[in-house]
Amino acid sequence: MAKTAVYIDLSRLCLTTFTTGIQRVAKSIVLRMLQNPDLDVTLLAECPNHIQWRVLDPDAFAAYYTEQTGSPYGTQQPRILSPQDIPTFAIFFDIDSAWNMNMARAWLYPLLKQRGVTVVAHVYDIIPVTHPYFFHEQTMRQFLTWISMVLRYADHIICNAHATKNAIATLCKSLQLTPPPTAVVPLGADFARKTSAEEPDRELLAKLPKHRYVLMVGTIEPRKNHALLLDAVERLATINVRVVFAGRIGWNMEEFRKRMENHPENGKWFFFANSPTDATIRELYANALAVVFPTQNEGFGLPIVEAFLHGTPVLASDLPVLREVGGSYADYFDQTSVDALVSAVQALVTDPNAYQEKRAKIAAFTPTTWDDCTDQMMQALCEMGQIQGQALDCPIRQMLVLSARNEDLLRALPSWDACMPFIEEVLVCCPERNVAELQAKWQGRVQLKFFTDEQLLAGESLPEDHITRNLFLRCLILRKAPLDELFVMCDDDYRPLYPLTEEVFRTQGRYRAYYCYDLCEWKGTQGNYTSYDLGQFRTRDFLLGEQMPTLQYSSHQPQVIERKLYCELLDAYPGIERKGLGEWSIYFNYGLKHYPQKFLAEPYCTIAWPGAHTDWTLWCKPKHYCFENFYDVLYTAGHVFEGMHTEYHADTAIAESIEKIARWERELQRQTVAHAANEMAEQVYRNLYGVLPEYALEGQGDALQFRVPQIAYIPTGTVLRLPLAIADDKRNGTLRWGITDAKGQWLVPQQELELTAVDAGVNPELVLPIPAHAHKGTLLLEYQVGVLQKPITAAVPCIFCKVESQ
Amino acid sequence: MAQRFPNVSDAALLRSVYGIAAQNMQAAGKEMPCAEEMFLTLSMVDPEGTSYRQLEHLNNAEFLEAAYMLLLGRPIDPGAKAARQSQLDMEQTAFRTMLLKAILHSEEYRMHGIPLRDCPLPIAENGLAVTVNVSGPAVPERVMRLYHAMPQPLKKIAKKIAGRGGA
Repeated sequence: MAKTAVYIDLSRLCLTTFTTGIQRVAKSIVLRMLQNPDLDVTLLAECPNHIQWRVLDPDAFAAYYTEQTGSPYGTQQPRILSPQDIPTFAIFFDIDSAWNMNMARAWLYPLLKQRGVTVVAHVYDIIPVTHPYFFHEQTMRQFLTWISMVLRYADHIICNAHATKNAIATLCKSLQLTPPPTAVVPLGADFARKTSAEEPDRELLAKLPKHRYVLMVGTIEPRKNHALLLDAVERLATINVRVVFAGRIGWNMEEFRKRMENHPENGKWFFFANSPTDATIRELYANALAVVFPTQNEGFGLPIVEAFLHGTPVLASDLPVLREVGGSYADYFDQTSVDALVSAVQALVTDPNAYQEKRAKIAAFTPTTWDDCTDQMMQALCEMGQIQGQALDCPIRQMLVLSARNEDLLRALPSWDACMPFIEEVLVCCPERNVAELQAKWQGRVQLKFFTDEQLLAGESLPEDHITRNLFLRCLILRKAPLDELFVMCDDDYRPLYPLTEEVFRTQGRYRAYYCYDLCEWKGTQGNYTSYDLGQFRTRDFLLGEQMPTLQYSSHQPQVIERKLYCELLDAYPGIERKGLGEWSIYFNYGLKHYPQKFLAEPYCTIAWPGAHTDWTLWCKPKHYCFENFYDVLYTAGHVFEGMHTEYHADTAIAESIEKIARWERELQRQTVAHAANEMAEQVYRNLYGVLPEYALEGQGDALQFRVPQIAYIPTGTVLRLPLAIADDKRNGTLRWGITDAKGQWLVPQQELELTAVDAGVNPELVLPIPAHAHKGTLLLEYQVGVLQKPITAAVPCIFCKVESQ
Repeated sequence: MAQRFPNVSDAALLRSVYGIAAQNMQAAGKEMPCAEEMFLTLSMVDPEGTSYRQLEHLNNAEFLEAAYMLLLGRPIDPGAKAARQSQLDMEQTAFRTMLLKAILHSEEYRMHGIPLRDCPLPIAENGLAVTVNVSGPAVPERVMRLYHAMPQPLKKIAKKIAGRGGA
């Protein structure tokens, strides 16, 4: 079984020079996860640009945190990783203090979820929501943002106490949200002890008689409620008990620091060990009468467990979370009452036998270990269904094709026959009248089987819309046709380019899912949406509504389908077959949401999709090519495959495929270079003017006007698409644009687009096919609301940049 | 772009969580140190681009903090905050122009700043307006070249003659 890929951002841990509770936890768990053979852990630290990470060397990281050698970042040149590089089957696990990170989670989480990556957040507590006054403004603000994004986007939450789980549930109830599935995993406490030969603070320890002082360990901050214990110093002195604080001064405690320094009993009945060494803390724990923990709120309460490990009794605030951690080993008191605290201490000193019994009981205390904690965390993830499930390993031998035209199918069949040797059978769904001709003309290796429209429909009417019809038919086939559990779904114009193996559909226990776009970015054919565009918009809305990822899988190439999983989707959404959704995108996004471990989503690998590079701007580029989306027109004069065979010829097929890929790549290269030139021009403009060059139509009523750059740097010989920002309520006119040369002649002919409310939410693009010979010109923009009204105009001087590529 | 998870928007959820925290703050007899709108502005950092419209409604002090967060992707450092403290009572446009010029032309911004969009202020290093609204024929290139070569006082006169905010 494939390892579970886990990506962990440890930016804060790597930056932190002192150790806080969260960093100790993150370090302890991550070091163990690195040793788990079932996990493939990638450690990350953010780059200064806030949109990428550097990948940490795990050995250097482990060496730094176990042996204190080197640097957590390592010394090698790091690999840079973008959120888009995280595979969709991976888990992104936020265990560090993510709210403090520069890479904003309000940006990152939606980006990960759009692709189907599982997001798991470790929520230590939600005290900045319930008790915001205990925190610095910035910490509180950043935490509120982070927890909001966790509740909205995380697939799972891990917390360390049921009290925290309950607090999250209460918060979600107030927000009318369903909380993400939450697992409770208690923290470990067997922290490795340093073996350094450092000496404890003998001068301090000499002033503290054994079992005659109470100890409070931890950063001095408002929430920890040190003030209560300080208020009790004089009264505790009357029963011969001293008070010791050990820790460093935290945020907003300047006044309290002065109060401690000026305390009349300072150095007599009260002592403050500022930033003590581990050796001093060990001695303080071991000899204390009790550890006092009067905190106002906690996520777990590690000092309680640490006290038990030293055999020391604990007096803790009476909070559910602390009762969960301390159980019957600790004593509890009202953390708002000095009387309650003094009484609890008094109880320990007045009955020495009871006190010794308590110590004896604590000696038997066994803490959760970090190994247990890590194992439980992994198990929790398994139980949440994220690590389970892999692709079926049965042979992929069947292909399902919808075909209305025998000619197309008969031209594609030889390539399937020759290049996909694992395919033994093609199940053709076609009209009854097509069957006889296909049977007569096909004599190849692959067996044809038929399931006719008549058998399929059995009297049901066929939807007229192309996209609706496609999904409807495929749903019927899935229910009725004799399909294998695993089959390849295909159209009759998708062709392999060279001999392939099953690996193209399934690898390392995962189905490959080939995407070509993000549906949220899909703009379609502006002003004249096709049935395909409208289907993609409907699919986008469906997926968003169901909180599924939104990648577009209609990549115009064959893809493998698990029949049972597709049927599960159909059962989950009764009536979906008539909703006109994209049959590829709903299946793969459903699968990625519910069974992320089964899929490997990656960019599509087909040439001739889109049919021309200028049809739309590529959202992702294929890394390699395996298939061709066959278009007759591309083989005609003046087009990219001019002069090549439209039929499959065994002796020339591979050579032609290589040439096709080269020609297609060259076309793509031209667009890529032009795109890069355009981005560079934007960067130059940004350096000159501070902002990006932008085109917008804005303002109120008659004051509507264009906002345009001072100058446009435009690459030649390409199709440029300039987005025009326009408010939805202004879309009631005609937009015209074009480029004139120095003589006022059209260099790029004027184009026109009616803007209507139908296009709301999608900004129109000024599509400009720029001739290679363009030299000087002016981009003219015009917007006319009514025929009688004067048009609003703008003109931008253009400087053309020659773009050449081979 | 279409709203992801349309049942509740990010902004609506942030407002609600802020509201709950504010109630808890109030119950303890305290006030939130950061107004809701400011909280929302600072929360919606998009490292791929910031619109000036996200900042325009803020007062100078808020603008200062938000500009660092939304353009440099980090909270303002105490040094920069102290240095700007005496300038906060400046006229809004002057303050913002000065601050944005400092941020947008800094090395940090050039290296990994967040692109700013929709900014109507004259923040170009060479003193030109950032954007220009042109109705009518284009400004000929030779005029632009001439304009760029002009000393600053002449540029001001040229702008007046042109009668537009920009060149």
